[in-house]
Amino acid sequence: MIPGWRRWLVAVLCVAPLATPAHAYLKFGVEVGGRVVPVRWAPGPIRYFVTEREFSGITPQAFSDAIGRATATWSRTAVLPVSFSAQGLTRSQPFETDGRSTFGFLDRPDDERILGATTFLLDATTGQILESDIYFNTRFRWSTASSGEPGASDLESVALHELGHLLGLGHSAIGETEVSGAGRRVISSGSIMFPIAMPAGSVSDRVLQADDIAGVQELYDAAPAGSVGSIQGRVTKNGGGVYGAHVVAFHLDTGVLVGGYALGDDGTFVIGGLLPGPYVLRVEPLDDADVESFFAPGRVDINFSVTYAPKVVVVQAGGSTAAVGIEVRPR
Amino acid sequence: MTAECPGLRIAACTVWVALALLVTRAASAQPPPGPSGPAFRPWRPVVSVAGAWTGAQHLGRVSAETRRAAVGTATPPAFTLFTTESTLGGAPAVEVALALPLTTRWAVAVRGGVSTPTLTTAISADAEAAPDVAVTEEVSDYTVDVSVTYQLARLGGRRARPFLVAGGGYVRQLHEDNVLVETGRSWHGGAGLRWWLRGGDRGASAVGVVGEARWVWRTGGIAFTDGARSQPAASIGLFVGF
Repeated sequence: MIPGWRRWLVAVLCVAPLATPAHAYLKFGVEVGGRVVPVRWAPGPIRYFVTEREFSGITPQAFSDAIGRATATWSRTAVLPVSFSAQGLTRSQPFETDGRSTFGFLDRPDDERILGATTFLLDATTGQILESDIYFNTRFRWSTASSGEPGASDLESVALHELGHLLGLGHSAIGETEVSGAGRRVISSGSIMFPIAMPAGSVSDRVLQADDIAGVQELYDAAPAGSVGSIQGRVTKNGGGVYGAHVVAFHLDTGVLVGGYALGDDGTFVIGGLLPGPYVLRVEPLDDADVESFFAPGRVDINFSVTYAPKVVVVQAGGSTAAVGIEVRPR
Repeated sequence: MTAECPGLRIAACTVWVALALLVTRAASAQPPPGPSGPAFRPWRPVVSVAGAWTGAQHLGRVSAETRRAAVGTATPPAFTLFTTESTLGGAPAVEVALALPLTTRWAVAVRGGVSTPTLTTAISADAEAAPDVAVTEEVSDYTVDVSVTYQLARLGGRRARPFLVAGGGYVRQLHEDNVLVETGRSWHGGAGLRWWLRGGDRGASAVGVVGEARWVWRTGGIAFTDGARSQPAASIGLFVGF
């Protein structure tokens, strides 16, 4: 039983079939004792249940198998101090605060743009996650077929994204979209944590990307000691900081992309979890995304042009670069 | 010398000044050439100092790619966010070598070199139409190699002899501010000419000028593509045979 004063339902994070683009990973944080601590699980197994509900021809067993494949992908690809442990079926529903992490279908006809979402129950004194539920919206058709199904969203792909939230990751903005009707259609993405899903029928998002791995390993301090480094710097426009600028680091040797945001009021940014080597830095505005997918609206500056850092930036293992200054120009 | 490296510029200038002085003094002596042409004395070391120029190396073309939205495939085609093409520019270098003649024709030599080329990465084809730009960093490049040289018959005048050279070695490159080291291997082959200003008659120490042109292949080190890269290199300097 969790004492009431420690219960804190913090967030609902969604993946939308039509939404917006951006780049990089975010971590969640909560303020504890005057400082912000990362939201994450304590080391050990994350025990979860799946609901007994069958939907769209997907049996509880097929649902459980798809979830199992997604959890295995996170466990296999990223070396983490946490693991996933399936506890079987439950009659509970997702979003019930019962101390059990529950995954299942849920009727959310009002969420017409949301495929799935994740909630947290946190220990407000430590920031540790106590419970996290994931629902998959029955407003959509779903598939667990190995090669996908035309017109149906791939449950394993969406589960992989939601499990990233469950671990404590926010949305990445590495991707491109275009306007499509009232929303946006994804053109490409460089992260599982991109807020917009691939088109229905696609199964290409069953594999983590470098941005996801860097983000979760940094969140859990899981990279082997001294194996990664970070880039720090400041994005400015007319001398002032650019809040919310999206900074992507491109490793010239391996070709991987890892992103971050200028989250300091003075435009400062830090991108961690980077392999040593030379990088090109690209700064872009969150101009074609629902900014709310990443930040509280209102503060993000999107009035500037895509800009590259003037120098090749070299990351050393176990260290951080000197501050990189990137001056952007208004559009 | 690049304007960004005054230290290396001073070192190279020193080499050239010393070379000019020694050539002037040796030329004034004008030793008589030996009857069979000049040659080093076996098992007596030869030291040389040279200024060199190493040509540019193409380091590779790499694109920043993301997964394109696609249905019906687990491996969708790539979407190019932007493309990079990197080059390690040509740069002056300073080389010091110690050779040991095994015979009057064959010798082995150990050579060390240092230069500070500029790594330039040209960025183009941005998906959001950002202007093409080039970003740079300065690299410190150190090489140590071992060569075998074969002295050919004298050429033209009685004090000049061409030679062939081939060898391989180790490359150590430091990114700007020495934050990261990358290592690799190199191989080279080429030809050169020695001009004895003094000695070379097997009975006295020798002083002369040596010029060399070679082709260098490298693997490892700073590179963004697999396989060997190649570059030309040339040097001219002074040798002293003991």
